[in-house]
Amino acid sequence: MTRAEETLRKKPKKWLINLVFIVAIIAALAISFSGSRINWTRFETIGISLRIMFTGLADFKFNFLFGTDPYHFEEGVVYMTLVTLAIAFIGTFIGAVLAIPFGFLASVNVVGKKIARIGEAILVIIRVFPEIVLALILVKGFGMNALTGVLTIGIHSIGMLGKLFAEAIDNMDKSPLEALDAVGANSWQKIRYGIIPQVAADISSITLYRLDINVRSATVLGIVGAGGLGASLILSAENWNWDILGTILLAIIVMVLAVDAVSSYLRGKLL
Amino acid sequence: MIKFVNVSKTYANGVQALKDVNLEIQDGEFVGIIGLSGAGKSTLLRSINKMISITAGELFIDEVEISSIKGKELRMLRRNIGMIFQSFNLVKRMSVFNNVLTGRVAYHPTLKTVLGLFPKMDKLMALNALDTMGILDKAFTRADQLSGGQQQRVALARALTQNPKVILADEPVASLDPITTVQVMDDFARINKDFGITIVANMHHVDLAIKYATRIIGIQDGRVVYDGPSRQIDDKTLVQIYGRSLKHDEVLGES
Repeated sequence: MTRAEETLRKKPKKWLINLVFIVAIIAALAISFSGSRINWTRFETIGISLRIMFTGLADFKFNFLFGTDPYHFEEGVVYMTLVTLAIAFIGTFIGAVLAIPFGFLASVNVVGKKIARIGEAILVIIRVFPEIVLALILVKGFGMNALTGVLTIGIHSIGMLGKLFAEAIDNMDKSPLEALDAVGANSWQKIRYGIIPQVAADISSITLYRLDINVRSATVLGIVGAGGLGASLILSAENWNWDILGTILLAIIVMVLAVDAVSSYLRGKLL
Repeated sequence: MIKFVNVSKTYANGVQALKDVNLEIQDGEFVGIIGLSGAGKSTLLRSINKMISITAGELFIDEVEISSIKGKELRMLRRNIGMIFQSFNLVKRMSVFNNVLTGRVAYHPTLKTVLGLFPKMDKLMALNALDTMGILDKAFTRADQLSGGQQQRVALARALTQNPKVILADEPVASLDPITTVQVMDDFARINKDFGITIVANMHHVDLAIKYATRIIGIQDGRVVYDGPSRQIDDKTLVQIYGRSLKHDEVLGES
Protein backbone atom coordinates (compact mmCIF):
# COMPACT_ATOMS: atom_id res chain seq x y z
CA MET A 1 0.00 0.00 0.00
CA THR A 2 1.40 3.42 -0.92
CA ARG A 3 1.52 6.25 1.60
CA ALA A 4 -1.16 8.08 -0.36
CA GLU A 5 -3.54 5.09 -0.15
CA GLU A 6 -2.84 4.73 3.52
CA THR A 7 -3.65 8.41 4.14
CA LEU A 8 -6.84 8.08 2.10
CA ARG A 9 -7.91 5.20 4.35
CA LYS A 10 -7.41 7.47 7.36
CA LYS A 11 -9.57 10.25 5.88
CA PRO A 12 -12.02 11.30 8.62
CA LYS A 13 -15.49 9.85 8.07
CA LYS A 14 -18.17 12.49 8.48
CA TRP A 15 -21.24 10.84 6.91
CA LEU A 16 -22.63 9.62 10.24
CA ILE A 17 -22.59 13.11 11.77
CA ASN A 18 -24.14 14.57 8.61
CA LEU A 19 -26.90 11.93 8.73
CA VAL A 20 -27.68 12.75 12.36
CA PHE A 21 -28.03 16.44 11.45
CA ILE A 22 -30.33 15.74 8.49
CA VAL A 23 -32.59 13.45 10.58
CA ALA A 24 -32.68 16.05 13.37
CA ILE A 25 -33.76 18.84 10.97
CA ILE A 26 -36.50 16.66 9.41
CA ALA A 27 -37.76 15.70 12.88
CA ALA A 28 -37.82 19.36 13.98
CA LEU A 29 -39.81 20.31 10.85
CA ALA A 30 -42.35 17.51 11.47
CA ILE A 31 -42.84 18.49 15.09
CA SER A 32 -43.24 22.18 14.15
CA PHE A 33 -45.89 21.44 11.53
CA SER A 34 -47.91 19.19 13.82
CA GLY A 35 -47.72 21.73 16.63
CA SER A 36 -48.65 24.82 14.67
CA ARG A 37 -52.13 23.56 13.65
CA ILE A 38 -52.21 25.33 10.31
CA ASN A 39 -55.76 25.81 9.03
CA TRP A 40 -55.41 24.43 5.48
CA THR A 41 -59.07 25.19 4.60
CA ARG A 42 -58.16 28.92 4.43
CA PHE A 43 -56.41 28.20 1.12
CA GLU A 44 -59.82 27.63 -0.58
CA THR A 45 -60.89 31.30 -0.28
CA ILE A 46 -57.50 32.90 -0.54
CA GLY A 47 -57.79 33.36 -4.31
CA ILE A 48 -60.84 35.63 -3.94
CA SER A 49 -59.28 37.58 -1.08
CA LEU A 50 -56.04 38.10 -2.98
CA ARG A 51 -57.87 39.39 -6.07
CA ILE A 52 -59.81 41.94 -4.05
CA MET A 53 -56.62 42.93 -2.27
CA PHE A 54 -54.51 43.42 -5.38
CA THR A 55 -57.09 45.37 -7.36
CA GLY A 56 -57.44 47.58 -4.29
CA LEU A 57 -53.71 47.92 -3.80
CA ALA A 58 -53.26 49.07 -7.39
CA ASP A 59 -55.83 51.83 -6.90
CA PHE A 60 -53.57 54.52 -5.49
CA LYS A 61 -55.17 57.44 -3.73
CA PHE A 62 -53.14 60.40 -4.93
CA ASN A 63 -54.91 62.97 -2.77
CA PHE A 64 -54.07 60.75 0.20
CA LEU A 65 -50.48 60.49 -1.03
CA PHE A 66 -49.84 64.23 -0.92
CA GLY A 67 -52.39 65.10 1.72
CA THR A 68 -54.58 67.26 -0.55
CA ASP A 69 -58.36 67.65 -0.25
CA PRO A 70 -60.06 66.11 1.75
CA TYR A 71 -56.89 65.32 3.69
CA HIS A 72 -54.47 67.67 5.48
CA PHE A 73 -50.80 67.54 4.57
CA GLU A 74 -50.01 66.05 8.01
CA GLU A 75 -52.36 63.14 7.19
CA GLY A 76 -50.77 62.46 3.81
CA VAL A 77 -48.46 59.58 3.06
CA VAL A 78 -45.59 61.83 1.98
CA TYR A 79 -45.61 63.59 5.33
CA MET A 80 -45.82 60.31 7.25
CA THR A 81 -42.99 58.87 5.16
CA LEU A 82 -40.82 61.85 6.03
CA VAL A 83 -41.65 61.36 9.71
CA THR A 84 -40.69 57.69 9.43
CA LEU A 85 -37.40 58.64 7.78
CA ALA A 86 -36.73 61.24 10.45
CA ILE A 87 -37.38 58.71 13.23
CA ALA A 88 -34.97 56.25 11.60
CA PHE A 89 -32.34 58.93 11.01
CA ILE A 90 -32.38 60.47 14.49
CA GLY A 91 -32.66 57.05 16.13
CA THR A 92 -29.67 55.74 14.16
CA PHE A 93 -27.66 58.86 14.98
CA ILE A 94 -28.37 58.56 18.72
CA GLY A 95 -27.65 54.82 18.61
CA ALA A 96 -24.35 55.32 16.78
CA VAL A 97 -23.16 58.07 19.13
CA LEU A 98 -24.00 55.96 22.18
CA ALA A 99 -22.52 52.84 20.58
CA ILE A 100 -19.06 54.40 20.18
CA PRO A 101 -18.19 54.35 23.92
CA PHE A 102 -19.73 50.87 24.18
CA GLY A 103 -17.62 49.78 21.22
CA PHE A 104 -14.47 50.97 22.96
CA LEU A 105 -15.63 49.31 26.19
CA ALA A 106 -16.09 46.00 24.40
CA SER A 107 -12.80 46.13 22.51
CA VAL A 108 -9.99 43.89 23.74
CA ASN A 109 -7.52 46.25 22.05
CA VAL A 110 -8.56 49.24 24.13
CA VAL A 111 -9.62 47.98 27.55
CA GLY A 112 -8.18 44.45 27.73
CA LYS A 113 -9.86 41.05 27.88
CA LYS A 114 -11.53 41.29 31.29
CA ILE A 115 -13.32 44.63 30.88
CA ALA A 116 -14.11 43.84 27.24
CA ARG A 117 -16.08 40.83 28.45
CA ILE A 118 -18.20 43.09 30.66
CA GLY A 119 -18.73 45.52 27.78
CA GLU A 120 -19.76 42.67 25.52
CA ALA A 121 -22.18 41.36 28.16
CA ILE A 122 -23.90 44.77 28.33
CA LEU A 123 -24.27 44.78 24.54
CA VAL A 124 -25.71 41.26 24.60
CA ILE A 125 -28.29 42.34 27.18
CA ILE A 126 -29.31 45.25 24.91
CA ARG A 127 -29.52 42.91 21.92
CA VAL A 128 -31.70 40.23 23.56
CA PHE A 129 -34.63 42.68 23.88
CA PRO A 130 -36.61 42.36 20.65
CA GLU A 131 -37.19 45.82 19.22
CA ILE A 132 -40.96 45.50 19.27
CA VAL A 133 -40.91 44.55 22.97
CA LEU A 134 -38.76 47.57 23.73
CA ALA A 135 -41.23 49.76 21.79
CA LEU A 136 -44.22 48.32 23.67
CA ILE A 137 -42.53 49.19 26.97
CA LEU A 138 -41.46 52.68 25.89
CA VAL A 139 -44.93 53.48 24.51
CA LYS A 140 -46.24 53.17 28.07
CA GLY A 141 -43.73 55.74 29.26
CA PHE A 142 -43.47 58.21 26.39
CA GLY A 143 -46.85 57.78 24.70
CA MET A 144 -47.83 57.03 21.10
CA ASN A 145 -45.52 59.40 19.27
CA ALA A 146 -42.34 59.78 17.26
CA LEU A 147 -40.16 60.19 20.36
CA THR A 148 -40.95 56.61 21.35
CA GLY A 149 -39.84 55.42 17.91
CA VAL A 150 -36.60 57.43 18.11
CA LEU A 151 -35.77 56.06 21.55
CA THR A 152 -36.62 52.48 20.60
CA ILE A 153 -34.43 52.58 17.52
CA GLY A 154 -31.67 54.45 19.32
CA ILE A 155 -31.44 52.05 22.23
CA HIS A 156 -31.89 48.91 20.17
CA SER A 157 -29.23 49.95 17.63
CA ILE A 158 -26.57 50.23 20.35
CA GLY A 159 -26.52 46.44 20.73
CA MET A 160 -25.51 45.61 17.17
CA LEU A 161 -23.55 48.79 16.44
CA GLY A 162 -21.48 48.52 19.63
CA LYS A 163 -20.61 44.92 18.80
CA LEU A 164 -19.61 45.75 15.22
CA PHE A 165 -17.67 48.86 16.29
CA ALA A 166 -15.73 46.75 18.80
CA GLU A 167 -14.95 44.24 16.04
CA ALA A 168 -13.72 47.04 13.77
CA ILE A 169 -11.45 48.33 16.55
CA ASP A 170 -10.12 44.85 17.27
CA ASN A 171 -9.46 44.08 13.62
CA MET A 172 -7.47 47.23 12.92
CA ASP A 173 -3.70 47.43 12.57
CA LYS A 174 -2.20 47.77 16.04
CA SER A 175 1.26 48.84 14.93
CA PRO A 176 0.52 52.61 14.84
CA LEU A 177 -0.37 52.40 18.54
CA GLU A 178 3.12 51.10 19.21
CA ALA A 179 4.56 54.05 17.28
CA LEU A 180 2.37 56.48 19.25
CA ASP A 181 3.57 54.94 22.51
CA ALA A 182 7.10 55.53 21.29
CA VAL A 183 6.52 59.25 20.57
CA GLY A 184 5.14 59.70 24.09
CA ALA A 185 1.42 59.92 23.31
CA ASN A 186 -1.10 59.37 26.12
CA SER A 187 -4.27 57.25 25.85
CA TRP A 188 -6.48 60.05 24.47
CA GLN A 189 -3.90 60.93 21.86
CA LYS A 190 -3.60 57.26 20.91
CA ILE A 191 -7.37 57.05 20.43
CA ARG A 192 -7.42 60.27 18.41
CA TYR A 193 -4.44 59.57 16.13
CA GLY A 194 -4.11 55.77 16.24
CA ILE A 195 -7.64 54.36 16.46
CA ILE A 196 -10.14 56.90 15.09
CA PRO A 197 -8.44 57.47 11.70
CA GLN A 198 -8.35 53.72 11.19
CA VAL A 199 -11.95 52.92 12.16
CA ALA A 200 -13.84 56.08 11.12
CA ALA A 201 -14.69 54.72 7.67
CA ASP A 202 -15.76 51.35 9.09
CA ILE A 203 -17.91 53.01 11.76
CA SER A 204 -19.62 55.24 9.17
CA SER A 205 -20.22 52.31 6.86
CA ILE A 206 -21.68 50.14 9.63
CA THR A 207 -23.91 53.03 10.73
CA LEU A 208 -25.21 53.58 7.19
CA TYR A 209 -26.01 49.88 6.96
CA ARG A 210 -27.88 50.15 10.26
CA LEU A 211 -29.81 53.15 8.90
CA ASP A 212 -31.02 50.84 6.15
CA ILE A 213 -32.34 48.38 8.72
CA ASN A 214 -33.78 51.14 10.91
CA VAL A 215 -35.88 52.65 8.09
CA ARG A 216 -37.68 49.30 7.87
CA SER A 217 -37.94 49.10 11.68
CA ALA A 218 -39.37 52.61 11.92
CA THR A 219 -42.18 51.52 9.60
CA VAL A 220 -43.01 48.42 11.60
CA LEU A 221 -42.71 50.17 14.98
CA GLY A 222 -45.56 52.49 14.00
CA ILE A 223 -47.83 49.46 14.37
CA VAL A 224 -47.41 49.54 18.14
CA GLY A 225 -47.79 53.32 18.16
CA ALA A 226 -44.21 54.49 17.96
CA GLY A 227 -44.89 57.08 15.26
CA GLY A 228 -44.47 57.01 11.48
CA LEU A 229 -46.29 55.12 8.74
CA GLY A 230 -46.98 51.95 10.71
CA ALA A 231 -50.09 53.23 12.49
CA SER A 232 -51.92 54.02 9.23
CA LEU A 233 -50.65 50.77 7.77
CA ILE A 234 -52.24 48.59 10.46
CA LEU A 235 -55.39 50.72 10.56
CA SER A 236 -56.05 50.45 6.85
CA ALA A 237 -55.31 46.72 6.84
CA GLU A 238 -57.76 46.09 9.65
CA ASN A 239 -60.47 48.15 7.91
CA TRP A 240 -59.85 46.46 4.52
CA ASN A 241 -58.97 49.85 2.97
CA TRP A 242 -56.83 48.27 0.26
CA ASP A 243 -56.51 51.46 -1.78
CA ILE A 244 -55.05 53.35 1.16
CA LEU A 245 -52.87 50.40 2.16
CA GLY A 246 -51.63 50.20 -1.45
CA THR A 247 -50.68 53.86 -1.40
CA ILE A 248 -48.75 53.40 1.85
CA LEU A 249 -47.01 50.30 0.48
CA LEU A 250 -45.95 52.26 -2.60
CA ALA A 251 -44.43 54.93 -0.35
CA ILE A 252 -42.63 52.30 1.75
CA ILE A 253 -41.17 50.62 -1.33
CA VAL A 254 -39.93 53.91 -2.79
CA MET A 255 -38.50 54.99 0.56
CA VAL A 256 -36.68 51.71 1.25
CA LEU A 257 -35.25 51.55 -2.26
CA ALA A 258 -34.09 55.16 -2.08
CA VAL A 259 -32.41 54.76 1.31
CA ASP A 260 -30.84 51.50 0.16
CA ALA A 261 -29.43 53.17 -2.96
CA VAL A 262 -28.10 56.20 -1.09
CA SER A 263 -26.50 54.16 1.68
CA SER A 264 -24.93 51.70 -0.80
CA TYR A 265 -23.50 54.60 -2.78
CA LEU A 266 -22.09 56.32 0.30
CA ARG A 267 -20.64 53.09 1.69
CA GLY A 268 -18.97 52.41 -1.65
CA LYS A 269 -17.38 55.86 -1.46
CA LEU A 270 -16.16 55.29 2.10
CA LEU A 271 -14.19 52.08 1.73
CA MET B 1 24.35 59.63 26.52
CA ILE B 2 22.86 56.18 27.01
CA LYS B 3 24.38 54.02 29.75
CA PHE B 4 23.56 50.42 30.68
CA VAL B 5 24.84 49.30 34.08
CA ASN B 6 24.54 45.57 34.81
CA VAL B 7 21.22 45.46 32.93
CA SER B 8 19.28 42.20 32.79
CA LYS B 9 15.83 41.39 31.44
CA THR B 10 13.89 38.27 32.32
CA TYR B 11 10.49 37.87 30.67
CA ALA B 12 7.49 36.54 32.58
CA ASN B 13 7.88 33.18 30.83
CA GLY B 14 11.36 32.82 32.29
CA VAL B 15 13.33 33.66 29.15
CA GLN B 16 16.39 35.73 30.02
CA ALA B 17 16.78 38.10 27.07
CA LEU B 18 19.53 40.32 28.49
CA LYS B 19 22.26 39.13 30.83
CA ASP B 20 24.33 41.67 32.74
CA VAL B 21 24.74 44.19 29.91
CA ASN B 22 27.15 47.11 30.38
CA LEU B 23 27.27 49.71 27.64
CA GLU B 24 27.84 53.38 27.07
CA ILE B 25 26.63 55.08 23.89
CA GLN B 26 27.87 58.65 23.35
CA ASP B 27 25.89 61.43 21.66
CA GLY B 28 26.17 61.39 17.88
CA GLU B 29 27.25 57.77 17.50
CA PHE B 30 25.85 55.42 14.85
CA VAL B 31 25.59 52.05 16.54
CA GLY B 32 24.63 48.83 14.78
CA ILE B 33 23.42 45.93 16.89
CA ILE B 34 23.88 42.52 15.30
CA GLY B 35 23.16 38.98 16.40
CA LEU B 36 20.96 35.98 15.69
CA SER B 37 17.17 36.17 15.91
CA GLY B 38 16.21 35.82 19.56
CA ALA B 39 19.65 36.89 20.79
CA GLY B 40 18.16 39.94 22.52
CA LYS B 41 18.76 42.72 19.94
CA SER B 42 15.20 43.97 20.05
CA THR B 43 15.02 43.79 23.85
CA LEU B 44 18.23 45.81 24.12
CA LEU B 45 16.95 48.47 21.74
CA ARG B 46 13.45 48.70 23.22
CA SER B 47 14.71 48.98 26.78
CA ILE B 48 16.24 52.36 25.86
CA ASN B 49 12.83 54.04 25.47
CA LYS B 50 11.24 51.68 27.95
CA MET B 51 8.94 50.00 25.44
CA ILE B 52 10.32 47.04 27.39
CA SER B 53 11.14 47.43 31.09
CA ILE B 54 14.37 45.95 32.39
CA THR B 55 14.19 43.67 35.43
CA ALA B 56 17.65 44.28 36.93
CA GLY B 57 20.40 46.88 36.76
CA GLU B 58 20.26 50.55 35.90
CA LEU B 59 19.70 52.39 32.64
CA PHE B 60 20.61 56.06 32.31
CA ILE B 61 19.55 58.46 29.59
CA ASP B 62 21.47 61.73 30.05
CA GLU B 63 22.16 60.92 33.70
CA VAL B 64 18.48 60.16 34.41
CA GLU B 65 17.80 56.62 35.65
CA ILE B 66 14.75 55.45 33.71
CA SER B 67 13.91 52.00 35.09
CA SER B 68 11.52 53.45 37.69
CA ILE B 69 9.93 56.32 35.74
CA LYS B 70 6.36 56.07 34.47
CA GLY B 71 3.33 58.09 33.36
CA LYS B 72 3.99 61.66 32.25
CA GLU B 73 7.69 61.43 33.03
CA LEU B 74 8.01 58.42 30.76
CA ARG B 75 6.14 60.19 27.96
CA MET B 76 8.47 63.18 28.31
CA LEU B 77 11.42 60.78 27.96
CA ARG B 78 9.94 59.12 24.90
CA ARG B 79 9.22 62.36 23.04
CA ASN B 80 12.97 62.94 22.86
CA ILE B 81 13.61 59.52 21.36
CA GLY B 82 12.48 58.71 17.84
CA MET B 83 11.65 55.15 16.88
CA ILE B 84 11.63 53.38 13.53
CA PHE B 85 9.99 49.99 13.01
CA GLN B 86 10.36 47.16 10.54
CA SER B 87 6.77 47.57 9.32
CA PHE B 88 6.80 51.42 9.42
CA ASN B 89 3.81 51.58 11.83
CA LEU B 90 2.01 54.40 10.07
CA VAL B 91 -1.74 54.94 10.12
CA LYS B 92 -2.36 53.89 6.54
CA ARG B 93 -5.71 55.64 6.17
CA MET B 94 -4.29 58.98 7.36
CA SER B 95 -2.41 61.53 5.30
CA VAL B 96 1.38 61.57 5.31
CA PHE B 97 1.29 65.05 6.86
CA ASN B 98 -0.93 63.98 9.78
CA ASN B 99 1.23 60.91 10.34
CA VAL B 100 4.32 63.08 10.62
CA LEU B 101 2.52 65.60 12.84
CA THR B 102 1.84 62.88 15.43
CA GLY B 103 5.53 63.23 16.30
CA ARG B 104 4.50 66.45 18.07
CA VAL B 105 1.63 65.18 20.24
CA ALA B 106 3.68 64.79 23.40
CA TYR B 107 4.70 68.47 23.27
CA HIS B 108 1.19 69.85 23.77
CA PRO B 109 -1.77 69.52 26.16
CA THR B 110 -4.07 66.58 25.46
CA LEU B 111 -7.13 68.70 24.63
CA LYS B 112 -5.31 70.76 22.01
CA THR B 113 -3.88 67.73 20.25
CA VAL B 114 -7.17 65.82 20.37
CA LEU B 115 -8.85 68.78 18.65
CA GLY B 116 -6.04 68.83 16.10
CA LEU B 117 -4.85 72.31 17.12
CA PHE B 118 -1.14 72.25 16.37
CA PRO B 119 0.82 75.52 16.22
CA LYS B 120 1.89 76.66 12.78
CA MET B 121 5.51 76.07 13.78
CA ASP B 122 4.79 72.39 14.34
CA LYS B 123 3.14 72.08 10.95
CA LEU B 124 6.16 73.69 9.34
CA MET B 125 8.45 71.34 11.28
CA ALA B 126 6.52 68.38 9.90
CA LEU B 127 6.75 69.70 6.35
CA ASN B 128 10.44 70.53 6.72
CA ALA B 129 11.08 66.98 7.93
CA LEU B 130 9.28 65.65 4.84
CA ASP B 131 11.39 67.98 2.71
CA THR B 132 14.56 66.65 4.35
CA MET B 133 13.44 63.14 3.47
CA GLY B 134 12.71 64.18 -0.12
CA ILE B 135 8.99 63.43 -0.07
CA LEU B 136 7.46 66.85 0.52
CA ASP B 137 5.28 66.43 -2.57
CA LYS B 138 3.57 63.45 -0.91
CA ALA B 139 2.47 65.45 2.16
CA PHE B 140 -1.25 65.29 1.49
CA THR B 141 -1.56 61.81 0.01
CA ARG B 142 -2.74 58.89 2.11
CA ALA B 143 0.10 56.88 3.64
CA ASP B 144 -1.03 53.63 2.00
CA GLN B 145 -0.50 55.15 -1.47
CA LEU B 146 3.27 55.20 -0.89
CA SER B 147 5.89 52.53 -1.59
CA GLY B 148 7.65 50.75 1.28
CA GLY B 149 10.74 52.93 1.05
CA GLN B 150 8.65 56.10 0.99
CA GLN B 151 6.64 54.90 3.99
CA GLN B 152 9.84 54.32 5.96
CA ARG B 153 10.88 57.87 5.05
CA VAL B 154 7.56 59.13 6.41
CA ALA B 155 8.35 57.26 9.62
CA LEU B 156 11.77 58.91 9.67
CA ALA B 157 10.16 62.32 9.14
CA ARG B 158 7.82 61.56 12.05
CA ALA B 159 10.85 60.77 14.21
CA LEU B 160 12.65 63.93 13.09
CA THR B 161 9.60 66.04 13.92
CA GLN B 162 9.97 64.91 17.53
CA ASN B 163 13.24 66.85 17.50
CA PRO B 164 14.94 63.85 19.07
CA LYS B 165 18.46 63.36 20.42
CA VAL B 166 18.32 59.65 19.63
CA ILE B 167 16.61 57.55 16.98
CA LEU B 168 16.13 53.85 17.68
CA ALA B 169 15.61 51.68 14.63
CA ASP B 170 14.30 48.14 15.02
CA GLU B 171 15.15 46.28 11.80
CA PRO B 172 14.47 49.41 9.71
CA VAL B 173 15.20 47.84 6.33
CA ALA B 174 14.13 44.23 6.89
CA SER B 175 11.00 44.61 4.74
CA LEU B 176 12.57 46.67 1.96
CA ASP B 177 14.16 45.59 -1.32
CA PRO B 178 17.97 45.87 -1.70
CA ILE B 179 17.96 49.17 -3.61
CA THR B 180 15.48 50.90 -1.29
CA THR B 181 17.47 49.49 1.63
CA VAL B 182 20.56 51.38 0.54
CA GLN B 183 18.58 54.59 0.07
CA VAL B 184 17.00 54.38 3.52
CA MET B 185 20.34 53.53 5.17
CA ASP B 186 21.84 56.56 3.39
CA ASP B 187 19.03 58.62 4.96
CA PHE B 188 20.00 57.33 8.40
CA ALA B 189 23.65 58.22 7.76
CA ARG B 190 22.65 61.71 6.61
CA ILE B 191 20.47 62.32 9.67
CA ASN B 192 23.29 61.11 11.90
CA LYS B 193 25.81 63.40 10.23
CA ASP B 194 23.75 66.51 9.50
CA PHE B 195 21.74 66.71 12.73
CA GLY B 196 24.11 64.89 15.08
CA ILE B 197 21.29 62.57 16.14
CA THR B 198 22.46 59.35 17.78
CA ILE B 199 21.33 56.31 15.80
CA VAL B 200 20.97 52.88 17.38
CA ALA B 201 19.85 50.29 14.84
CA ASN B 202 19.20 46.54 14.96
CA MET B 203 20.21 44.86 11.75
CA HIS B 204 20.09 41.42 10.20
CA HIS B 205 22.49 42.29 7.43
CA VAL B 206 26.04 42.21 8.72
CA ASP B 207 27.47 44.00 5.69
CA LEU B 208 25.02 46.89 6.06
CA ALA B 209 25.78 47.20 9.75
CA ILE B 210 29.52 47.30 9.04
CA LYS B 211 29.10 49.75 6.17
CA TYR B 212 26.89 52.30 7.91
CA ALA B 213 27.49 52.00 11.66
CA THR B 214 30.67 53.35 13.17
CA ARG B 215 30.34 51.01 16.11
CA ILE B 216 29.04 47.46 16.28
CA ILE B 217 27.55 45.74 19.29
CA GLY B 218 27.31 41.98 18.87
CA ILE B 219 24.82 40.12 21.02
CA GLN B 220 24.77 36.41 21.63
CA ASP B 221 22.24 34.79 23.97
CA GLY B 222 21.59 38.03 25.85
CA ARG B 223 25.24 38.95 26.37
CA VAL B 224 27.34 41.57 24.65
CA VAL B 225 30.08 39.51 23.01
CA TYR B 226 31.54 42.23 20.80
CA ASP B 227 31.62 45.99 21.22
CA GLY B 228 33.97 47.97 19.05
CA PRO B 229 34.54 49.88 15.83
CA SER B 230 32.86 48.36 12.79
CA ARG B 231 36.09 48.33 10.77
CA GLN B 232 37.70 45.92 13.24
CA ILE B 233 35.05 43.24 12.69
CA ASP B 234 36.66 40.11 11.25
CA ASP B 235 35.72 36.49 10.81
CA LYS B 236 36.74 35.64 14.36
CA THR B 237 34.36 38.18 15.91
CA LEU B 238 31.54 36.98 13.65
CA VAL B 239 32.13 33.45 14.95
CA GLN B 240 31.72 34.86 18.46
CA ILE B 241 28.44 36.54 17.59
CA TYR B 242 26.85 33.98 15.30
CA GLY B 243 28.36 30.78 16.66
CA ARG B 244 30.04 29.88 13.37
CA SER B 245 31.81 31.65 10.56
CA LEU B 246 29.60 33.28 7.96
CA LYS B 247 29.88 32.44 4.29
CA HIS B 248 30.44 35.29 1.88
CA ASP B 249 26.83 35.46 0.71
CA GLU B 250 25.54 35.40 4.28
CA VAL B 251 27.59 38.46 5.19
CA LEU B 252 26.04 40.25 2.25
CA GLY B 253 22.66 39.36 3.63
CA GLU B 254 21.40 38.02 0.34
CA SER B 255 20.54 34.53 1.51
